[in-house]
Amino acid sequence: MTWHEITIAGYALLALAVVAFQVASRRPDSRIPPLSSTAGRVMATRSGRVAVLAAWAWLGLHFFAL
Amino acid sequence: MRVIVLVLAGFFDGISDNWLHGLVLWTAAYVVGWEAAQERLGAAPPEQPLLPRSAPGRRSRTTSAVLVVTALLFAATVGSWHRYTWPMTAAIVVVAIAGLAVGWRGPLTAPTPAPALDRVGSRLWVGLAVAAGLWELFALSRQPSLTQGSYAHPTVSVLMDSVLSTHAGRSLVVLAWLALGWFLLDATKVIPRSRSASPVTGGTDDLA
Repeated sequence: MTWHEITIAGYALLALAVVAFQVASRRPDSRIPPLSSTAGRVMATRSGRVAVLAAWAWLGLHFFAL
Repeated sequence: MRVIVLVLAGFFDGISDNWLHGLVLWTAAYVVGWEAAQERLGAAPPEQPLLPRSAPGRRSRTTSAVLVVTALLFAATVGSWHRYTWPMTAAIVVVAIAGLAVGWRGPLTAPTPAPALDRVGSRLWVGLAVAAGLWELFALSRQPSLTQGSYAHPTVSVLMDSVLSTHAGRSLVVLAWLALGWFLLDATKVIPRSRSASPVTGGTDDLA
């Protein structure tokens, strides 16, 4: 297995973990909160909202803007 | 913690030869630090929800349909422009500023209180975010230089280059970016109680 494959496998594993956590959070007895609840908690204050939305805005700038 | 993350992200973006984007992140870090200080002092201005809270129904379905169609048209149009051009930059900056302005004003609607988050469960999400950041940082550190991508250790940005070289790829990624922004704004509608607000539960975490 090459480093290229290992690196991509790492990203794939992280993406799968997001899906797995989100699916697990839907179970009635789950201790894992849905991603939306976690995001809502982080964004409960103005500073939290600005921090998270600045990161989102930066993603758009990073991939597309000058 | 949020300020430190933004400052570090700005630093790494800067030394990757993108000081303009780094400056954006540092400005955000300053604003977030200032707002957090105001909140601690109880001097933060009042927040105003953008929309009235409404029950699911025909009106919300119509609004959702209009938003989806608008987003699709926007993504299809903007995706036809090449990356790092002035039209593309203007389109992305306008949407980014709009999202930040809405978030600055207040939650999308008057938030509904929800049960507090489980400490262990919420830390799984935090751990995942940290792991993703470290994996990206590892790939970045293995590049020949910070401005030259590596085939053996591709960062997400390097992997996205091929996707973003086509109209369809750019449109899909713009659409995903819009969807993420909407997801984040929508998440402000429900706010789980903090640990301090629910001392009885005990086993919860304050992620803010």
